[in-house]
Amino acid sequence: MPKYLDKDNPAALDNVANGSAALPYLTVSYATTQTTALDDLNIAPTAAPYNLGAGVALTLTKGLNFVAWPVREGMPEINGGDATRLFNFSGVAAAILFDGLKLENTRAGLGSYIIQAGASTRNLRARNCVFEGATTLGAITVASGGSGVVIEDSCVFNITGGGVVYNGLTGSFESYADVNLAGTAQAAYFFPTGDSAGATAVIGGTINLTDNTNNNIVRCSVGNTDMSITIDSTFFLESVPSTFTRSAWDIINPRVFTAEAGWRIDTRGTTGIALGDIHIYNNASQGATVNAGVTIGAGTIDRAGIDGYGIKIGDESPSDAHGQNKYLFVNIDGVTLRDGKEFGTAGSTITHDFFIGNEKIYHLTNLHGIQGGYGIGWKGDDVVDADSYAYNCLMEGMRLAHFKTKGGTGTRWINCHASEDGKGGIGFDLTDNTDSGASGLGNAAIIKNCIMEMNSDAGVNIDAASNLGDQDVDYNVYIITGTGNPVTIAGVNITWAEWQERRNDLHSYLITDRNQILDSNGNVKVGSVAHETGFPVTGLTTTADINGANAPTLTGVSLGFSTNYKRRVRT
Amino acid sequence: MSIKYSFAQSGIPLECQVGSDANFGTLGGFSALVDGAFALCIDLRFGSNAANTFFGGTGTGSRALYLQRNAGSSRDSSITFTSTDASGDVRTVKWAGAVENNRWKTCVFNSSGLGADNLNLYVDGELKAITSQTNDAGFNADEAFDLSFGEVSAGVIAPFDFTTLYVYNRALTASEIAQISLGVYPSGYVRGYSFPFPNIGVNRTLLTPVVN
Repeated sequence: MPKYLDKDNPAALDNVANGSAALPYLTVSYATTQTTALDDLNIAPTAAPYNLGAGVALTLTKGLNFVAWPVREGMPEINGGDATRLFNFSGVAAAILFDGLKLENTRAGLGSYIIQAGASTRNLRARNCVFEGATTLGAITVASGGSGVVIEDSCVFNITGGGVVYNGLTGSFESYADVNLAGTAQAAYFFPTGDSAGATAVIGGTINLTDNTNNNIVRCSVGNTDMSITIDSTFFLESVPSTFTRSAWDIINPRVFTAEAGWRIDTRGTTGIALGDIHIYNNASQGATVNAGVTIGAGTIDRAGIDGYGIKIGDESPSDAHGQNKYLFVNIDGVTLRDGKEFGTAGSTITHDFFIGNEKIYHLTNLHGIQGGYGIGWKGDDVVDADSYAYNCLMEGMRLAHFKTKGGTGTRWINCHASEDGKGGIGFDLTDNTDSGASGLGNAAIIKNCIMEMNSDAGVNIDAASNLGDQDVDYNVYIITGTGNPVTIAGVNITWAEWQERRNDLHSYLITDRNQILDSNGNVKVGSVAHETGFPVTGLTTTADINGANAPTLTGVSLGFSTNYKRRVRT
Repeated sequence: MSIKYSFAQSGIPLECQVGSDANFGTLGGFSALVDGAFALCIDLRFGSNAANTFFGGTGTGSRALYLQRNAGSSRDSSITFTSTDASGDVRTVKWAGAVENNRWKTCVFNSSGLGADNLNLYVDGELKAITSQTNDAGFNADEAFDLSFGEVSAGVIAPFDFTTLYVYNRALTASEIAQISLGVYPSGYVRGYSFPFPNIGVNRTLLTPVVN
């Protein structure tokens, strides 16, 4: 039998004619413990909020559905007033639902929440709700061991302090609510601790940060271990002052991190210094005990003032803060980063659009960087797995280098395009990378099927510590205009003939007009020297049968390059 | 006409290599078809006169199927087809002077069934004369097994490039074979592979558009 709570008409509580039953245990101002299982508690809109008083407003130990009473128009508001916790669920594994309510707790400070979900929580859902408050840590906290918390996409958080969630959960948490965070918080979503059981969190919705100086959008702190985090959201940083010093996503020690295709970060509202957009890494001593990988699907980053890395996985150098080779793989696919800061302008901080440092296997595909210090950079410890590559990536207008590697084994750039666009960056920059496998240096870098479009710098630069084997750079097209040049070795220009004498780019083309190979949309012209003249690469370029299936298994050993080999074009 | 390309060597295992092992699995059961009507179409180019087995594999027992180049170090630019069934019956057909070095050739092995003169080799549409043949009437291909290009025998690398590969479970007509020499393959193939060289540069349709 449903029960009705009507602050302005207390008689309705016991009005059998309304279909209600007596509700002696729930009054407007109480701080009590509800231990009896209920069905629905229908709550009517009121002129003033239901103020549940000080302390812990309501502790439930049984399941309960809080549902807006449809008899009267408006959204009922339950106000915790000075309560540390508006609702406290203790020992409740049964279903709890909030539907159509405005839930507010105006008490700021540590330990203040709108909902505290205890360790026994298994089924807590919010629907059509508005959460408001200024709690320091989070509107909702989920205790370690709690799970099954779902905030549906019909919910909105209007928070003036604290985040949406503060938890160190073991079980699952999902929030698809829109979030407007205008106060100071650790983050919109803050996970200070996970645990070895592998907690999971899914974050969706549109998140707007305004007038904050120290907020992350999502943050896992050092104490977190072994969480699995999935993000499927749109994030905005609006009107953030120049003192903003956070990353949008600051993810430390996750076991698994996934950003679903369709995510977006727009930080064009910021103007000052920050740590970058996305940083994911694992501590050496406190990191996850079961490391899987990082997967970032198709998404976009628009930035105007952030100086940090666009996407940074790992770090420049191994340390305790950043354990080496912690993830089995890092897959980033289909991310477009547009840097509106005009990195070509002198004085800008030098950072990467995309950077992988000292992780194990990198699969970077279909990335598009528009301006920056470096486009794609990776830095290895000479144990990078041989299956790593950057494939089908377009970097435009980088100030220093469009593609760069320093150390690391198995750097492979396949079907990439470096377009200097007047900003002065090198096309492909190899440092500390040899074919001899010298200790401490990476090796086996290759550049194939790539376009180097340069007008003032080198298409390929190899530093003094590096060397390449035969044919490691081949099947490319160099579009050289102005004062650009195809290749420099240790900063010194060498001629095309000298370069080919080193047995590189024997099957490549050197042209002076992009219109020879590209149409107005940047696509390869049929019949041009770039059309179907590249190098087949197993697993990347097509090797399946003509129905797109049944790809043969290709293995083998190096035989040395055949000097008789020529590209075959049958007519 | 279509443009076809070969695999090429790169020096790293990520990529296709000259002489590498291309394993096509059971290849549409081709190895179980060879006592009936079938056609195998390959574009290939040999880089030397060395004797080698460039295509084939073994099944259980004595079952085997091989295509060999200059078998027995004959250095006569020959191709030899050999298949052996479970009972040891062997079908062998040799075409001497069929394929010279360093030239791309479109080869069609076309069989209308068992028996003499029923397995023929066409190179660029031209019928090649059979030099010798053994057609055991009891031949029975009763098992499909894996067939590979390149390193058919472990450690023995055939020095050749290959590209397009089509398998049919029927004999092709003369006109179809003529069309194949022009790069036009009839439909109804059991398995068809065509390995084009990729474009150089970026396929921009795979990039995520900028959001305004």
